[in-house]
Amino acid sequence: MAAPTTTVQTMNSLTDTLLKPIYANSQGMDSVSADSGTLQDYLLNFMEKEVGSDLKSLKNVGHLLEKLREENSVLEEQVLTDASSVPPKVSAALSAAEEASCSVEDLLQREALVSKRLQQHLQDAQPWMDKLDQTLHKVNTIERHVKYLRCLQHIEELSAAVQQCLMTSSVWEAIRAVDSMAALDAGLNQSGCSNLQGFLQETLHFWHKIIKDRLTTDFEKILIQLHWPFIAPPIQTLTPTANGQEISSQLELLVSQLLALQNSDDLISQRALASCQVVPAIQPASPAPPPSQAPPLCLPIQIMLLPLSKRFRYHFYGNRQTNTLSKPEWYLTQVLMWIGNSKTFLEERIQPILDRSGATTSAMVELCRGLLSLVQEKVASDASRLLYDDALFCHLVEEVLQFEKELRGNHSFPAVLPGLLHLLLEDAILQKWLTVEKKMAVEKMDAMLSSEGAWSSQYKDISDMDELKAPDCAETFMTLLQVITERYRSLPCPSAQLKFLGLQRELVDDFRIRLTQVMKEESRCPLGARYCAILNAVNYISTILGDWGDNVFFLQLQQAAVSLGEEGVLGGLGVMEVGRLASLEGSLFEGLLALLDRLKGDMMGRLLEWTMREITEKVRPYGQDRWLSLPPQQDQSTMTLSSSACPMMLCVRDRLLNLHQVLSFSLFQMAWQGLAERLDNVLYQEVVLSNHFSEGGAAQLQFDMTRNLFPLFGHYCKRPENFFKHVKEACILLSLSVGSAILLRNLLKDSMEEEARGGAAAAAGDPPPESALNELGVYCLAPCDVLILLNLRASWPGQ
Amino acid sequence: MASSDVHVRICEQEILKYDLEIKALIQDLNECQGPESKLTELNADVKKSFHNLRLRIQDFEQMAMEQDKESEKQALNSQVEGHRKQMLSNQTGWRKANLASKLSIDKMEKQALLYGADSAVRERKMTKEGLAQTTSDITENLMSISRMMAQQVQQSEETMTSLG
Repeated sequence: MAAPTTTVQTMNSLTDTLLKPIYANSQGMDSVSADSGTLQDYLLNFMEKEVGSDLKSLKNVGHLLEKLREENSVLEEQVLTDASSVPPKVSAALSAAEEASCSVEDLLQREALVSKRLQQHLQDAQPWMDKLDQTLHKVNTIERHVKYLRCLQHIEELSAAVQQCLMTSSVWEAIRAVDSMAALDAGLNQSGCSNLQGFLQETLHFWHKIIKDRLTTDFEKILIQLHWPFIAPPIQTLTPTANGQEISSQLELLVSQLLALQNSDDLISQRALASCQVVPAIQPASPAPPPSQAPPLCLPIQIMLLPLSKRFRYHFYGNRQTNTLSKPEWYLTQVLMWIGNSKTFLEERIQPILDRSGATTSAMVELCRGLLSLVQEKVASDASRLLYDDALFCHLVEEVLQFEKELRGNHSFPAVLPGLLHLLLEDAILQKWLTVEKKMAVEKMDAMLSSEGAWSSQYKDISDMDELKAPDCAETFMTLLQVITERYRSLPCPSAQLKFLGLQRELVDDFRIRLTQVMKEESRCPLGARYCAILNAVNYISTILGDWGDNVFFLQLQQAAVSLGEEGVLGGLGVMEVGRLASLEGSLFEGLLALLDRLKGDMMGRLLEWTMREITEKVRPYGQDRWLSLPPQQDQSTMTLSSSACPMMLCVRDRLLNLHQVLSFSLFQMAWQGLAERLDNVLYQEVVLSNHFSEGGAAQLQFDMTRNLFPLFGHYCKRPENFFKHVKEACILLSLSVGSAILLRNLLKDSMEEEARGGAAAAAGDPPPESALNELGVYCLAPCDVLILLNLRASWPGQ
Repeated sequence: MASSDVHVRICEQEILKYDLEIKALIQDLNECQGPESKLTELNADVKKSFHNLRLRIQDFEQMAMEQDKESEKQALNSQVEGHRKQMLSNQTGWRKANLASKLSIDKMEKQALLYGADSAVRERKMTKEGLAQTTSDITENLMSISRMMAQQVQQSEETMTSLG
């Protein structure tokens, strides 16, 4: 077997030599290490294939070696060479490369030739090209001249056509001609032929005006016949007028003709606005708002608006009695009335005509838009003049809000079109509004906190309606905030709304501080009604703010605040908190809620402290009773409450009832549980640990607690004794029978000694002391406490 | 104790019931395409369920306090923690669903107004709906006020009879 081993050895050494250099170069060369990896894999596979797990196949190693040697030599032949000749494959490659470079040179030469000939040709042709250029240029110019003249001719033709049509009263054709003139004008917009443009525009303007004036006068006549404008609510006439049919058809005709004139009219009016050539006939005193970016009103409606607009300017501008700053409701209501009165007429007579002519506008919306622009002008000018008078400013804002509500609600003015609210968003006005809101709110807060019934709840006598027992002032305050919310709810701009929200948060904080101040005044009698009322107020406000955090309106504001990155809201918040706001886990009121909770906690703590002070005083005599010398009672049923316990019980009972009545439900829960915990401690310290107990004494204590104290709290829970765990378990231990007490004491002593000796007490197989205690119903007290308690028992045998 | 076990179990079941109710309502909110009044209705239901859930969890917490064994008290307290966490995550889910559906309703309304030729009819219908809602709100308010007054009268009657 020597041969196979040496062969294997050789193979191993070969593999090593192959792999080693690769490994040496594998620093930072990932592909090479991959190669070595694949090489290893290959070898492993090879070994597996050839040898596998069958040691006997090692016989074939000789054949294997032969085969490999042959392969090796073949490869060598291909690559290694004699010193003289070039290996065949390499030489073939070289010659192919040489051939390729020859043919490339060839091609380059041919290309040079061809391009030279091309250049020559171009040079020869150049003069002819120049001549051709000139001629073409001339042709172009002449063509353009022809176009110009043709255009001019076209305009004149159209003009003549319009004249002809007007003379023969075929208005439709005239309008069509004017329309095409307008289209031409629009087409010529980019042209540099200013004279042509000017001529066209003048012609257009001339004819347009004539047609428009004619149609306008006819239309106005019809409107008057139809009793437009409806400044009073329309009277329904059941009898059709004599020429009703004729009027209807004429109306239809005129309206549709006016609609057809719309394009040219828009063109002309936009140009007029742009160059500020046209001055409105009656100039309002204040600068007019900039021309609206909105599309101009449709022509029939524009004409219908004229009488209304005239009336508006007559009544509400200038030195009329109707034009007062203090009564904005006059013009606001007037406009709403006009809108309401015109509704039927527009919907029944005008809208169908509009629909039939294919216009997609709504007559009502157009009328509203037109009237709104009058109102917007007036409100803007009035508002800027009222910045110095708080009361009138407030009044204006309220009236504007009311107007907007009616406009959107009763008249279904679409929400995408601006109403009046955007006027209130103007910087100076918004700032003034915020200031006035704050001032009014603070005044109201002063008033509500100093009013007579501020601290009583108005639902005092309706006990089942009122879980929160909120005092009047708290309710008024939240109502105040709600009213402010209603006012800014419909503003179209979230950042303005967020300013109001900031104001509301300030007000809540202010109110909290005021509550704290009142509390400090009352802090010497926290058991009084007012203190509890303040506590209820804090709880009430917390509850409502918590609710608001879920309200979709505030959620929308929250999202807007995060996406706008509002400093006023997010300033001072860390990244975590902004993240919580963004994911809607937190709410905008969290900071305020935290402060309110702290106040609530402080107040509750003080309330309980004072109550306990009172009770603790009364516990003392109870603790000093003669527990050691009480004889054992013969009969359970004749046991009565220790007389020394009566004052304490009375106090606890009365306090509990009082708190139940004055505190809101959730606060009362907190209160009685807190009271129970503290009372448990006090009793444990002052009564249990400070005394030794005879058998009778222990029984009396147990009776006092289980049949008297615990049932007081049993009103509010099922297992009151578990709120007094220390006392309960102490009673159990003190009332144990003597035998059990001795056993328990021994068990505990033993286990404590074991522990003190550092040995594993459980190794002895004894159950841990806790399980013994648990069996007796003692879960809370630790074994050391139990031992102390057991030593308070006076009734050991032999004593 | 056997009886408290039953109470604990019942309380737990009720907590679970309210929790799942809330989750179902949140799902409804997510799918709500309807008018804003439907959104308000769903929100009112969710609020009620949350209120009940909060009360039940408080009851559960009290049951924990009432346990004899400290170990059981700890166990129940940790369950209370779990229920509270569920409730908070429900609250976040509710807020998200609420906001999302309000935004989609707003968007739909805006689109309808921009493109709807029969928007006038729709607006009239919505105003009628709005009027109906306002009337029913007013009626409800009046009814609650009259109930309150009737209760007052009854209480004063009782006082009179007990005094007389």
